[in-house]
Amino acid sequence: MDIGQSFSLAVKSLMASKMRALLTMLGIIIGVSAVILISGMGNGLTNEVEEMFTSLGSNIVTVMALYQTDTKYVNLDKLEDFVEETSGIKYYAPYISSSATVKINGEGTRTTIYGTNEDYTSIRDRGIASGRSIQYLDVEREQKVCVVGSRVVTELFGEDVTNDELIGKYLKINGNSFKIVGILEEKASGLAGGDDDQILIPYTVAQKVFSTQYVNNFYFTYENGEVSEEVIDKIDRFFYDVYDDADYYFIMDAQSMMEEMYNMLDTITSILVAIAGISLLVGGVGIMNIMLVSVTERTKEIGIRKAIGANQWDILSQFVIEAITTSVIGGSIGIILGIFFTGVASTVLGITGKVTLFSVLIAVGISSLIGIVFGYLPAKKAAEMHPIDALRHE
Amino acid sequence: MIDLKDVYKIYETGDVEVRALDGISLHIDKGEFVAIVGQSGSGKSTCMNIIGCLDIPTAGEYILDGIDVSTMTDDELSYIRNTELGFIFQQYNLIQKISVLNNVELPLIYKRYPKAARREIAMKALERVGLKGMENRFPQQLSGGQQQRVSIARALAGEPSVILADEPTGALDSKTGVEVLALIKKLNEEGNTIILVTHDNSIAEQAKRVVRIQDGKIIEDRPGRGE
Repeated sequence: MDIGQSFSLAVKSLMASKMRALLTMLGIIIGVSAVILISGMGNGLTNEVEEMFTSLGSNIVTVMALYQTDTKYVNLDKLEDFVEETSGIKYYAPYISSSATVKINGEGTRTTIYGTNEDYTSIRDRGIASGRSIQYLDVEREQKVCVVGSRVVTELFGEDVTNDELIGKYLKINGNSFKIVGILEEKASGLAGGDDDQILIPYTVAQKVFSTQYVNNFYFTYENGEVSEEVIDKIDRFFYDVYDDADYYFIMDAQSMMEEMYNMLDTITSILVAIAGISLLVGGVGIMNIMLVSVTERTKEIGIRKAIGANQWDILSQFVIEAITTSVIGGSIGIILGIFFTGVASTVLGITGKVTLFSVLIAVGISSLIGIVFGYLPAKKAAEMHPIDALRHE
Repeated sequence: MIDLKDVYKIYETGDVEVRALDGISLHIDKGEFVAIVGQSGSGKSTCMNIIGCLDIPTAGEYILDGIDVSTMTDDELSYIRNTELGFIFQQYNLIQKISVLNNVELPLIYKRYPKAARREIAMKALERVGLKGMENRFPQQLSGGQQQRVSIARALAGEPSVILADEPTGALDSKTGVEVLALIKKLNEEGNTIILVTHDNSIAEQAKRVVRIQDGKIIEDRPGRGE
């Protein structure tokens, strides 16, 4: 049987009764557009999460020591030696954070103080706008120096002062005098509580100022910027050796957290797509229904074709092709609508949905499959009609 | 060329046995023009269905063009119909949604002829029945007589050994009916074997041979007036 003629016959039938065609295809249109929309938004969300993790620093390992005592504590010298020995670790920074009051010339504000070391700015990707960052000697010699964030600058000095002017000035943190040696580059638009609302000081000084005996937080980064299970294992073992118990500390590596998030998003997206798939099933049933009606309506035509010499395969393929044509046209409309709605949803939700070629191809494939599967039974019924009975019909 | 040997067609519904054909033997040669005539219920339609390979006998033999078609399957019969037979129906039985040309091409599509060949043969057939120029029209745009001619062209296009016409003038007015019958006679003169089934004696007599059926049996087989 001429596929071309079957196809154009099918299209003509659909055009002849547009309303019926539309209603038939509705299930597939809805199902496909839903699948495209959901997978597109799911993609977009996953991308955004990925970007978020990347900006946080996906190659940073964070360790939090939850509890330290005289007998079980993190020996910072030992930790430093460990970092030296471990070739897979590039940067390492312990840090203490606390909020404090900062004053100068009668102006005061509250901000967060990070007591840390010379690697901190590299790890957290902070640039220096003016002056310098904390240095190794500052930590060693417990120098009361500080690096100030742009919001603190604005709060204390207003807009009219240049960064360079501030270097060498002294401010008071919780009553202690610190010399400003550097200004941090603005990173987070200078918002309160953001990355610009902080001051860095050497952790050895912070321990004294805030009366904190132990440092609880540590950052490590990988040598090549690439995640290394081996490095994570070594860090884990170091801390395990301190406590003999994995419950006393907590290792977070952005990579595995990201993977967990991925998996979760994936699962959710898959479930939603499956639900959307149900309407595809309904769409298929709709096609089967219409095909049965169509076959019954065209009983005489089937009889004529058989009388002229069409065999069972000719009739079967004719009607299956009609079913596929219907489902693929429906699927195509669904794809176009799905892409359109992904655009709308992106604008409304603020998440950029991304429709992949893969999902489009799957949609086309499934639409065709639906046509074949749900068109088969009615087509078989048509093919098995006895020509005499069929000719006598009506 | 057509050989029915002791053909029976028996339908059993419950306890009741209906003998549509009750032992028919008939021989038709190439080039003949035979009318099979009888009342409704006489078995003439059943006879035509058997000859036309739309159905198979319950008992007996049917040899068509040297081929035994008595026990063929559906698909095998389809093939035979496609290659050996051409049908003309009372209700024309054209497919409304496709053009005149596509209708005439139908047997050729199932013969799997390529597009160009189909078109050529179909156009020639249309010309033969006097419908040159109508190929792109649709059946509903044609008169009854014209539609019947399309049906005849379709029957010719397949280049069959036998043309079967079932009450070809039944749906036409008398004038058009005469025209169509004249065309059928002309086709016979051009060499086609024609079997015409009718209940109308006056039409039957116009064939060269008249075979009368009653109660599933042949009761008469004589030459017609054939003019």
